[in-house]
Amino acid sequence: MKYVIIGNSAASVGAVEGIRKVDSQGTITVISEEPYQAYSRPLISYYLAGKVREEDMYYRDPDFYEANRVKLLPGKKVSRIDSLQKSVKLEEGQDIEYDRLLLAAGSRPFLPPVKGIEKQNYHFFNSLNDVKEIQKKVEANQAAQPLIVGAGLVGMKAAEALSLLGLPVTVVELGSHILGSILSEVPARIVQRKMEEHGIRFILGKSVKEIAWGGDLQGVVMSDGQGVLTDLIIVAAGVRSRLELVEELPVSRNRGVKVNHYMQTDLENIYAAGDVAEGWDSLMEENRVIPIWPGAYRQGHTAGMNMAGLKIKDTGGFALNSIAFFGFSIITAGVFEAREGNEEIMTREEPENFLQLIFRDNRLLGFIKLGEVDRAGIFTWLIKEGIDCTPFKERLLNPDFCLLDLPAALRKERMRGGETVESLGCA
Amino acid sequence: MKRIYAREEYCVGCRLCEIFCVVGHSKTRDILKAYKKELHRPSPRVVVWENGPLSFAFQCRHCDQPNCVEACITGALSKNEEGKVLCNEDKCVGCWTCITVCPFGAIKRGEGDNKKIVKCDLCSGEEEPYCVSHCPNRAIVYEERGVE
Repeated sequence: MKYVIIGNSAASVGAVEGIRKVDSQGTITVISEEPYQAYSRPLISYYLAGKVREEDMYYRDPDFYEANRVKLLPGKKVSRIDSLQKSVKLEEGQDIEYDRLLLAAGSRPFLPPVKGIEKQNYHFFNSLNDVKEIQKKVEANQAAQPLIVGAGLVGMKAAEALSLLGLPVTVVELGSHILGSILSEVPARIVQRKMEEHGIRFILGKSVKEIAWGGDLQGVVMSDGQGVLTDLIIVAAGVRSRLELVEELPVSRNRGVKVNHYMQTDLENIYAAGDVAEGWDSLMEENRVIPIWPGAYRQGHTAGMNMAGLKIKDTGGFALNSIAFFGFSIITAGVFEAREGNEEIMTREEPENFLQLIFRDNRLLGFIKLGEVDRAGIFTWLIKEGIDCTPFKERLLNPDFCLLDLPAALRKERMRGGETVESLGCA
Repeated sequence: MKRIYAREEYCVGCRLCEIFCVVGHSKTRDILKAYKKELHRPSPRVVVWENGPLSFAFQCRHCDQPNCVEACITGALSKNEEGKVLCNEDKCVGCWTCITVCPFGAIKRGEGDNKKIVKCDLCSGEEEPYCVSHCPNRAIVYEERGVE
């Protein structure tokens, strides 16, 4: 069996590990645009801030490819997939045949329409090379006033890293509050205040309209006409699934490539996982792109096992995130804002801690936890299992909430492994 | 594989398990030196939860399909051949993604400047984990319960 994987991040590594659990013989080829072995993409901001070294960013041991007998083709780009010939063509001309193909090409950053931006040397903040370029400018004192477009997860980590390097950072966000993909307004204000205490300046409810001055970058013009000085623009306006390779293929796609529960596209020999795929959201009960690292690994792993001949359904996942700024932690999962109108919200707010829980019919739908984030995973578990929280609902807001607070029967089922297999196979 | 199981009927909440967890993970493994001489005292990886007469010691369950390993963004967490879920502290950056997905709430954040997770490693290399061998009531046991 010949396996080919396009992409070399979480989903790709998951697939390699999934394939090798089932098939030790087949050949695996991984095609990677980036010239590196798989690294932890979320660590790029840590790298820029000087918290981790490049050699500590690798997601697996240095012998990962060798140990799993994977042929890694680093720095190679795929130009097209020929699903009839069952081969992928590299830009430099080489054809690579496959029996099973995995699309794990991820996403690419979105460039918002800003007049004049294409003539400027703007930066994204999505790859190791992106931060290496930014680092060079910072070291050469060519980035005295960074401007970040977008206050999402990526933009805010960029802001934190540059601030830790001692630079005065400005963040522009079209939305009314920061981190709109994971936080509602009140907790967003708490986080914003924390970041402002570290010197980060926010311009909310506005967008960058134009980069007016040609030649050397000096500043931008905002949607309200205000000018903001900057010599380094980082665009962090979200990502889009990379669909260019499937455009000519007879596979359905929406925002991402559609897959079934086996991570298979409409073509039975082509699978997809990670940011490129619309996998199963078990909370929303629909297929959609959930661009998070743990989900990409899980989907890749499931795809890998199925490519190697098993029939294993992906359990699905839902949005969850853990992120911190200047040591202030944020964990969120599931739905974070009332949508249907029949949700119930419970909140505990203290100066350094915030907890918000959203229920529907006494079942937890989502939570936002700031500050002391310990044991947040119990909430994630309550969401995932759809457990009726009625008997212990009030205790959930307790800062010390733990398994002790669950009803005896539920607690014992969770803790006494020997009695139920499910209680330990927590996946 | 052998795991640690709590027997809440026998736990009196004395927290000796926490103390001996610290000792077991100290440099000298000597209770006096660990508490009085060593510069960096490790955090206990087991926690006693208590509410009135109910108490039990709790630590990582070393799940068969560990959510934390799947979710770990750096590759610091892994499940070894014996089934132990272990953290490579050189790679952990304290992102707390594992805490986001651990259904037991069994992973702790390092205290103070220690921006790494703190979790049970079943006292790798020991016949029996320190918490178990030092519990006066056998309120925690280390045994095979026939779960894979």
